[in-house]
Amino acid sequence: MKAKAEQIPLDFEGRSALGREDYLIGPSNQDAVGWIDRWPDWPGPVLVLNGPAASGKTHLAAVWRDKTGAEIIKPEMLLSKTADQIAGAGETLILDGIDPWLSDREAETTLFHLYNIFKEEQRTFLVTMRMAPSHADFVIADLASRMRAAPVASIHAPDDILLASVLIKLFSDRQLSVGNEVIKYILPRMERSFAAARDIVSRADKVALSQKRGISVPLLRQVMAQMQEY
Amino acid sequence: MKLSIERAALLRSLNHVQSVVERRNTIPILANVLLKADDGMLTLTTTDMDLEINESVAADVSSDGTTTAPAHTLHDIVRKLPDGSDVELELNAEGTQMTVKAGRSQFKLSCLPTEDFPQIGAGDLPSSIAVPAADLRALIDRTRFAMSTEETRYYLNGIYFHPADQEGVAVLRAVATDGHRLARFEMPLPDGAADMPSVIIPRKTIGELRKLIDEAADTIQIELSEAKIRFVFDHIVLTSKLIDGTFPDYQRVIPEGNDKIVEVDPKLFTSAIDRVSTISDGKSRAVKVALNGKQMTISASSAESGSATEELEVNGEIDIEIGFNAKYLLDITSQIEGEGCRLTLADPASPTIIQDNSDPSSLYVIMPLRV
Repeated sequence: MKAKAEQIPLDFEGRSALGREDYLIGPSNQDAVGWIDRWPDWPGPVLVLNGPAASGKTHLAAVWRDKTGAEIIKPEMLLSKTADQIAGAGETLILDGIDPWLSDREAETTLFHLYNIFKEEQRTFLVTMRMAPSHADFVIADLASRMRAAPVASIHAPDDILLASVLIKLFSDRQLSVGNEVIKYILPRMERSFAAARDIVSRADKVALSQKRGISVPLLRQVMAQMQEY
Repeated sequence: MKLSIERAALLRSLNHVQSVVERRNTIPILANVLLKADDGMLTLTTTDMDLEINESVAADVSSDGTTTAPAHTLHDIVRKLPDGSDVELELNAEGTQMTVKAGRSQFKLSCLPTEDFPQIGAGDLPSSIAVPAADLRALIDRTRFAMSTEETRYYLNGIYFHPADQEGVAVLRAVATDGHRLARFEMPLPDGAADMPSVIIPRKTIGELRKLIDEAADTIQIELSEAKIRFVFDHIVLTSKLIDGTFPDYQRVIPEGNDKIVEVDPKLFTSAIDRVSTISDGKSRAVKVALNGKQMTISASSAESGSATEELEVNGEIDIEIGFNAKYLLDITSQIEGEGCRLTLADPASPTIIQDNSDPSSLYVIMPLRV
């Protein structure tokens, strides 16, 4: 038996608030928000929403869905359905996270036909992806040229002010209030990404629950030291 | 204000209301009990701004009036007066001092103006249900031990009461958790409760309510809104603010796929854990439960104290080794009144369900220790 047994906590995951008012805006994502707000005044049938993991692409896509009533299409349907079937799912569509399906000729063909249908019928759809279209490896040249010509709403690595707001929102989603000193401790020590913010908050929540402690600087010191060990 | 009251009756009421009053108060009036003499009744009220208890008791009132006096001091005085005596309370003309007289004893207590006394108990509450006292007692007793005491998790510092559907049957359910274990108990949904809001009743309110239930009549009237709850007994009204937070989605932590089932005598199990845990050290009070065929071995070891093991016979044949906090196990097994305690397990890192074989209305979930 270990000298110090570790209590495993119950897995209560926090619920994320995904409304427009919950979406935090800073210099790193204000262009992307501008494109979402500008709809239906888009220059073409597709907008590419691009940014790193956990940067808020799905949240911003959900904001656009609330505004347009768009249907969310799983990207794997690019293989299992025809472009006509997908186009028939709704007037506006969201394809969330298409990166793994690029370089697949069949999926790209469906996407290319989908693009043409929406252009022909003057409809719009939103595509989210981690990689910018200019860096993605398309196998179909006609799709590549269209996607690279499409407007790209990019979410960049967050600045400190936005990252601080995101940390506070993530703690608040879990009904945890934290002091300024905790945020000030985390900011200079964390990786500059939304994914890192999400991981730190999730880990801090679990450790605090396991050890029945509040969210404090000593707790974060322990959590961030443990995370560096992995 | 002038009245005379039997010491035992006054002490009983003061016992009920004084425990709401915190020992340390930054607002002086909150240390006082509001006394109101009117129409042959003395009404006593105390509050801590979140919780209010109001009790009426018959008294021989010769002059109506109201005042506030230090609650703990008045309680201590009345407690020390001789049994069987009559107590006389009289407020001076200026309203600044109250004399407490019994036999040859006399005390003068400083009073504060009644206008400063906060009233949180007023106002209509839209939902109203009647719950048998025995059921309310069970809802509390079966779950209260699992409430959190950690202030950061304010939304777990109470019992979550809400209407629910249990396989097509409407129930009133009480749930409490501190993130390490969870207790759930349910009773048939009382009339009028289908539309009641789901509420988290604070820990202190639960404690005060529980003390009053034993002296209550058969049925307790509960009135509630999104923000407040009121319990109406014979001559006592307890009104409390509710916790302004969201109780977590507890259903997701009650496992459905656990397939390792074993049954054990709860009394033998409880005594064995209690004995073995004498050795376990630290806050975690770790004990290891090893199941091997029809045998359960409970063990503990500590660098300072040594080690302990005890064996039990069980129904069911499974092989698993899992660690638990002994206190959490004891809290749960001591709730089991039937002859069979069923443990439904998955693996040493996943939640285990514990149930009383003869009581489907209660369910407990306990998280293991990594030992």
